[in-house]
Amino acid sequence: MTAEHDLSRSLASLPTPPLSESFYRHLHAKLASERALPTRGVGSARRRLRRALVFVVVGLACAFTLSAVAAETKRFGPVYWLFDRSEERFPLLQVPTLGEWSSRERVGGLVETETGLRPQVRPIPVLHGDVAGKRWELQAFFETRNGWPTMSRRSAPGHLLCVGLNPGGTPKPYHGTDVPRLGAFSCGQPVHGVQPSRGGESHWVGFGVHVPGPISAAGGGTGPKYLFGTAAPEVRRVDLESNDGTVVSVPTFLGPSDFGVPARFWVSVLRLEHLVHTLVPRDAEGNELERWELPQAQ
Amino acid sequence: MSAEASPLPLAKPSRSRVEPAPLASIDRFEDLIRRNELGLRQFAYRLLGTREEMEDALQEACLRAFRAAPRFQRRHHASPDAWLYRVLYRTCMDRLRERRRTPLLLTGEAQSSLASSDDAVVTRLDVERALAQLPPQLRAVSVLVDVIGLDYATTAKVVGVRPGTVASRLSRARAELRANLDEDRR
Repeated sequence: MTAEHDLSRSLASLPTPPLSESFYRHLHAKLASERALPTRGVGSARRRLRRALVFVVVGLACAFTLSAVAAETKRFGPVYWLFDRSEERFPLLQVPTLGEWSSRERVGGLVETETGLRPQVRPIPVLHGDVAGKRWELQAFFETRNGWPTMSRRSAPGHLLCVGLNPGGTPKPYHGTDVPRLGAFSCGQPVHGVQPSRGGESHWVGFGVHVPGPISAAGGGTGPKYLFGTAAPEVRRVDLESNDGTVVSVPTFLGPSDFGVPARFWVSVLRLEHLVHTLVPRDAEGNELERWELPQAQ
Repeated sequence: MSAEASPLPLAKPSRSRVEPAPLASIDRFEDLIRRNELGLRQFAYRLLGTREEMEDALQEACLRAFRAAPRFQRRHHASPDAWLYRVLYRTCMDRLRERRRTPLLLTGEAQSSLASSDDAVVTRLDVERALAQLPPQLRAVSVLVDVIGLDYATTAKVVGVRPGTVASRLSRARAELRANLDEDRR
């Protein structure tokens, strides 16, 4: 303890040289010139630059992390961002903004030739619409042959009204042909006044379903879901009754004037989990023409 | 014991809390320097070893502190005295890092000022030499506590460590000092 004390005392008694006489004069001059300088000097500029760099690096790291997490999250998927960005605003239904029908030189069926299948080019009326800024395209055409190469349900020979929907973008051709691929289509559905029944029950509306977007881990698309189809000339609205009790009323609109068949059409956009179990077509007075309970909710 | 070596008044930092704009004017800032001059000189001299470097470091530290004074007043609520020591400590450490001048060597000036042959001076020379041989971090703690007379909490703020670390560094510093002194006397 004494040794400790002696050591401390020895340290405390060490001499220190005084400051030179000019020290405070120089210091005062430097401080005064410092005060005259702009507030933000080179040092602070460097600090700001360093801080900005740190922000950029941290921002990039956060963005990378978020995107890595988001890649596995449906909520952050591209379809979600394309159509809507919150659960609250995700459309239960959006009735598309309709454009005009136009005829486009596109394909109908395929013709068998010696060199193989060739597309049978014919005018196809096309209607454009818009949902949440994303363009869709409804196509109506008559199919006269069984030539569609990848048609999952082959239609019977005859004049069958097909309605197809392309949810946007440039359709890719079917493999090995120059036939553009539709997102979904249905042909020959028996609808009163449009197409006769082929032995089954006729309805006032026909329908098809298309879910665009990438295939999810669960095996389905990520939505939203397009329900679309033909309707009898008398049908002005189609009520879509859903499992959660909501009823979405969709207007129908006339087909192209030179189409030759007085068919009407309807398109709706639904949330993926919004399952429709009953279609209720109504006439111009709002009378219920039919209650079509679908065998499987769509 | 010389008059200089008495414990510093600075060791009571809690008295001088930051008041509104105390460092904004040059006069007030210089008052702060003058009030702490002795301790600052001791600290810088023991860390750097020469009078010229001590003055240079003090000038540089004062400028740094003056530039940073507005930020200090906005953000800190610690003692401006301790903060001044902190700025000086960092300035000295920067200089040591740049010049790689450890261990410290006594200059001719220091030798000549201690050239009298009585025992007290010889002992003081030994202590100076032993202190100069300490690593800078240990030396800083030893000077702040044993030479200047700061308490552990203030020293911790100056060197930017916890008070417990100050205690352990001080213990190591004293042990090494004693070892260096014993070696010198052999």
